[in-house]
Amino acid sequence: MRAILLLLALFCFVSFFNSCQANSTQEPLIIGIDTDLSAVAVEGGIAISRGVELAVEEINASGGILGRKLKVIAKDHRGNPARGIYNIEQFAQMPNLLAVIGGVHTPVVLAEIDVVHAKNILMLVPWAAGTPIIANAHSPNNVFRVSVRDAEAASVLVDFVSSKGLTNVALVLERTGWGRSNLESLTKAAREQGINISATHWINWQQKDFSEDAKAIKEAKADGVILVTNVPEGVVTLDALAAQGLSSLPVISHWGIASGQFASQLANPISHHDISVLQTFHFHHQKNNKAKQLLEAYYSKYGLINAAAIEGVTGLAHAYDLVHLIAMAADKAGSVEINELRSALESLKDIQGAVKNYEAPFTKERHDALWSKDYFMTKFNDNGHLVTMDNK
Amino acid sequence: MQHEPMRLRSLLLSSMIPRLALLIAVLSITLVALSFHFIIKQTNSLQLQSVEGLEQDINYIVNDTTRQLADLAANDIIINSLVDIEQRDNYLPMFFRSLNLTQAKSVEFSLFDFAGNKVIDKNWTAALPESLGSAWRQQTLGSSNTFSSVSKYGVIISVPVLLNGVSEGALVMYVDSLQSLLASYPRLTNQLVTDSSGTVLFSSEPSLIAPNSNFLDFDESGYSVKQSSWKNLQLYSVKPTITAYREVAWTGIVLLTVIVGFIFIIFHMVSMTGTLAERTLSTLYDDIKNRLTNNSTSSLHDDQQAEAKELADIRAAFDNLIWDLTEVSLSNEQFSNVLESMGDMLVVVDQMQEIVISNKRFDEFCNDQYGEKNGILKFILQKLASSRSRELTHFSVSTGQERFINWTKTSLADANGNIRGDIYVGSDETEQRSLESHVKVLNHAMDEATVSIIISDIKRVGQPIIYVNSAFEELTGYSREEIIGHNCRSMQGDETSKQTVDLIRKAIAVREPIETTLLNYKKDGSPFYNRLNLTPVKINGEVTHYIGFQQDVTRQRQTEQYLQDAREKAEESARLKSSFLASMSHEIRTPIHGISGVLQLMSNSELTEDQKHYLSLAKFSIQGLLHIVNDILDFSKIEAGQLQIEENPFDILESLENLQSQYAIMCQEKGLELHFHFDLQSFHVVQGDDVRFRQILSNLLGNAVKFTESGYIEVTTSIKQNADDSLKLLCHVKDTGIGIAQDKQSTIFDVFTQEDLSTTRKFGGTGLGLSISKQLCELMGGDIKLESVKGHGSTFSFTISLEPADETLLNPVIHSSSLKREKSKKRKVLIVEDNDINQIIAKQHLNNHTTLSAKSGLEALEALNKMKVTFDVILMDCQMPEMDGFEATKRIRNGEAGTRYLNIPIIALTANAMKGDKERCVSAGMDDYLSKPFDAADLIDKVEHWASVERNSEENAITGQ
Repeated sequence: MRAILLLLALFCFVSFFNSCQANSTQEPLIIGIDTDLSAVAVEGGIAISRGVELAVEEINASGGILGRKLKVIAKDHRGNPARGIYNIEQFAQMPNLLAVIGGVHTPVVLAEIDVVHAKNILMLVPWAAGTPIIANAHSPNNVFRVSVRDAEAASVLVDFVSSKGLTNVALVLERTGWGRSNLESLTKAAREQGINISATHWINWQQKDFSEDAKAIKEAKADGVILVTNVPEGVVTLDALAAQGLSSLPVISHWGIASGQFASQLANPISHHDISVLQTFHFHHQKNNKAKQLLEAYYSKYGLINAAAIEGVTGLAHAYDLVHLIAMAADKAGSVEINELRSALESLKDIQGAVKNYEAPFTKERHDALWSKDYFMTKFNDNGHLVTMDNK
Repeated sequence: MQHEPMRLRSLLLSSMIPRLALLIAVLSITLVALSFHFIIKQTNSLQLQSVEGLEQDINYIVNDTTRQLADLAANDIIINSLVDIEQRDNYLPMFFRSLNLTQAKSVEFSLFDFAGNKVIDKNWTAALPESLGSAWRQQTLGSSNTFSSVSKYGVIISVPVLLNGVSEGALVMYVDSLQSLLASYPRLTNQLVTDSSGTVLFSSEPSLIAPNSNFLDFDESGYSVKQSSWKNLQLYSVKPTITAYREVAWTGIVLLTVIVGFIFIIFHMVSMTGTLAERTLSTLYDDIKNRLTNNSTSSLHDDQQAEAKELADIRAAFDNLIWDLTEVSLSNEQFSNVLESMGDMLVVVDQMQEIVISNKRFDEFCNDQYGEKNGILKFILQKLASSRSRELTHFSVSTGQERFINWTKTSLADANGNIRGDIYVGSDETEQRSLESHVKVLNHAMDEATVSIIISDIKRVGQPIIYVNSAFEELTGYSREEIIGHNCRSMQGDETSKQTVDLIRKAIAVREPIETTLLNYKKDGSPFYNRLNLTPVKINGEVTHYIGFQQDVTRQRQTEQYLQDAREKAEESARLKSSFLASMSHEIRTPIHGISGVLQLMSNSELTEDQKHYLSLAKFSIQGLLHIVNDILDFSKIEAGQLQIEENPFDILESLENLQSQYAIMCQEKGLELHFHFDLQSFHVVQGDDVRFRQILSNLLGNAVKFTESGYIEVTTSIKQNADDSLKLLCHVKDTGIGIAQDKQSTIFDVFTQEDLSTTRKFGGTGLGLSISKQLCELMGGDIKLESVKGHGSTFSFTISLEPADETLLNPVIHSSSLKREKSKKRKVLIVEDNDINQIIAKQHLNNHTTLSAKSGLEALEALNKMKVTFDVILMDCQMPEMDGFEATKRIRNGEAGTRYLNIPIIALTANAMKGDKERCVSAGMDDYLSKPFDAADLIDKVEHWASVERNSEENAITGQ
């Protein structure tokens, strides 16, 4: 991790050096990345960064925005909200900041909302599902999201539970704003679907022991588990369940565990488990041209890889689409002034993205671009890669 | 000797003390120096040890606290709280409140975020200088390392809260001073911690050096200080020098005491040695002086005191010298003493045979002889010359007996070997002679004794025989040579009783005499019964030998055996005879019972006068027959030793009056007079057998009536009290009958004897009556006699022993007639009887009751089990086929007839009148018994009595008839 941190620092330094050079001719617009690049969702963070980079390259290749090149500055919040806030404050001081692409962890983004508005900068969220991130108290709302929304995700997850014939599920939620955001929506969805929630189990970040809760889940005879955690806590949960002989208990997971190398950290082979993961994007699911274009760009920049093996692929696609959307908005507004950009984003129409064809990605009232119909369930293949389900 | 030399003790003291003193002084100075050196060294090492301990303490406190803090920082609550900004206030404060890591009172904790901003704290008031504040942030937040600092600002420890190996925050602990962290447990020395500028951070003895003061200001004089450094701190051990030297002082005092003691002991020892030597030498000197002046015979050796060998040698040499000197003067005196003290006579004569010396013994001997000394000597010498024996016989004037003197002659030679004369020594052997002859007599007597005598030495191993006499040789066939030295056991063999041998051995072991008979074997192997009488022989109070007298009792034994066999045979045949008689009488009683019963039944029916007469004749015959049978039965009982004399109190006057009234009628019928005279001495109630007494008297009375045609019969009864309180009853029965001839009188009491056969023919009778009477008298401790003159009548006199009895002990006689017969309630009676006739009779007698009969015990049990009615009484014959009455009763009592009959009254009907019948009935569980033949009235009474008895337990057993 430390090596990655150093590499990123070097990268920052190099890009800063570049920007200094560019500044002499025409000052580039800055796209800030505020994500977890070294802590618990590194793969998610990298995917976002790559999505941004690929989009920025395409935009820069086609002349940039309003004739100005785009420049990416990435900051690592390490999943720590305090660091996130600090990062936002740093970005806010940059005069040529176009927007900040921030995410992966809901708690971090949630903590940043107030600062974002105080400094009046645009926050584009490619990955962070907490409902209050968009449903915040600020008006005008500077946060736009192409990502899962927990309130929507809950119904998809509970639908899937129901479709699997399960009736009595346990909730395993991380003890953060994200976990709480999901508790609310899952409880509501379950009530509507007639699914019984046997118990809600909270898990701390970096918690190492989940055996008591696993035992309780076993004793409660839950026939399934809805998991809302990141990779480390997900691994602890799955291993604890396996230790109780519940390795094949159906686990219906929010997309948290797709943010890192999940399968390789499990004590047992992934094939012993029955895990379904909520996703919004998969190269085998989205077959539009934009998605193909993204994949090819990815191949050419980062090398050939099995499309299913690209980790945090949703972050990649969401970030990619978001950068294109902001570029289009800037072009449409003909300005990079914040109010203009916000209005332009809220009035974009019929945009083909990698994720989908956005009829109207955002409106004044709706800053979420993706809804439950855009979500689908995936599962892990034996290599630990997420694959689409045949029946979906 | 003119100038007085120094005394030995003073000499020793004056020469030794200075040297010793010098030696001790050198030694003590060395010891003090050494101990001083070691104590200083020890103090030093104590100081070092203390400083090291202090260093370990600080190290431990800091490192251990850091480790614990790091553990806390790794807690997922802390990590989660950094992420969960929104809600961490719900759980983080509680977690923080519970924090406590050290024993210090005011510990402050705080959690900082990655930027060093405080997230939450506990007691956090730390006012840290800028440098320290940035130092820990640099280390912990910047480099993700732990940080600790101990300074005048206090103790601060910070640990990173790591997320994926990088610090996302810091957990910081702060204690305002080291003083409160380091525990105040007892320390080896005063300990101090200062920072580099000398400010005291910790002091184990705040009263000595206050914390926060400057150690540089401390006056170190009078203290020993050890220093060491730990990180940026200086550690000190401060110990007052005075304490170290106090220990030296103590050691010095101890040493001084030891040295003084040492000097004293040496002084004392030297003084003692001098005194001892002085005294020994003086004593020796005194002894020698005494000896020379007093010429006493006491030894020079004085064993009261221990003495050096050298001195002892000097004494011994001196002793020898004096001994040699005195010896010569002694010998003369001793010589004459020796002569006088000799037990033998001694005469020394010169060549002229004249007495030179003679001792007192010889003089005394001469006084006991006729003649004077020289004459006697001449006589002796003459006799010795003429006789070959050296022993001479002398006549003693005083005792008048001969004295045997054994004379020995020795030549008297001078130093040159010239014969100067002779020495005669005479020893008196008279006493020895007489002892020898005495022993000879005893020996001979024992040897010639007809009884076999044997002596063994029990003090020697194996207790061998040391003497046997000729009778022994004759008895056993062993010669003396063969048996002496062997143990008596050699005469024992396989058949010898082990117990007897054991008894003998035990008796010898405790030195007791024993007399016994055992089987021994002669030399030729033939066995004989040896009547052995062993007596211990005591010499000087200790048993050393046993003397045994043996007698061959084999023949006697055989005779005894023969007699015993004969007696057993005789007894056996007598028993057989009695048993036969008993069984016969039983067999006879049964039909008699039948006849008697039938007659009783018949007499209740209507009869003509003639028939009544015949019936009374038949009844009379039956009575007679029964009488005979009873006599036979009694006799057989007596023969078999089964007749039991009862010991009960009874009213003898009443018995006599009953007899009188009984026989008065008979006498009246025959026209005889009957007189009864009593002299009972107020002993109306006596202890004895009433029945047997009456039997004797009625026997005699019956005979008197039988054999007297006219005249009178006179019965005189008197009781006398013996010296031992027992009573003697004397009874005379005098008649004026036919009398008994003189020559028949001696056999009249024999069995089956009447005066002659004609008498039998004329008067009838079994001839058993008198014999039984005699036996009964004897059984009752008395006798029976007869005085008679043929044709003029007889007087039978008998005595029996009785005991006085208390009138109150008398059992009230319940006459059967007194039972209330009027309320004859109808009872249910089961009659168990195999004999049909007897069954019928019993049924008839009990025709007022409901009766049912069974023919055996088995039938009875069956009837009891099957019948619905409950019987009130069971009449049980004892002798029955299949199952007898005893067995049946036992089974009923065991519940085989059901619980309702467990306690039913069972009355035995028995024709056996032998001893043991009653006991057998009781032990079988019967309540009462009736002897056949019985009266109808008796039977009815018994049934009535038992049927109305309230059954409680079995205590209603047979209480006699």
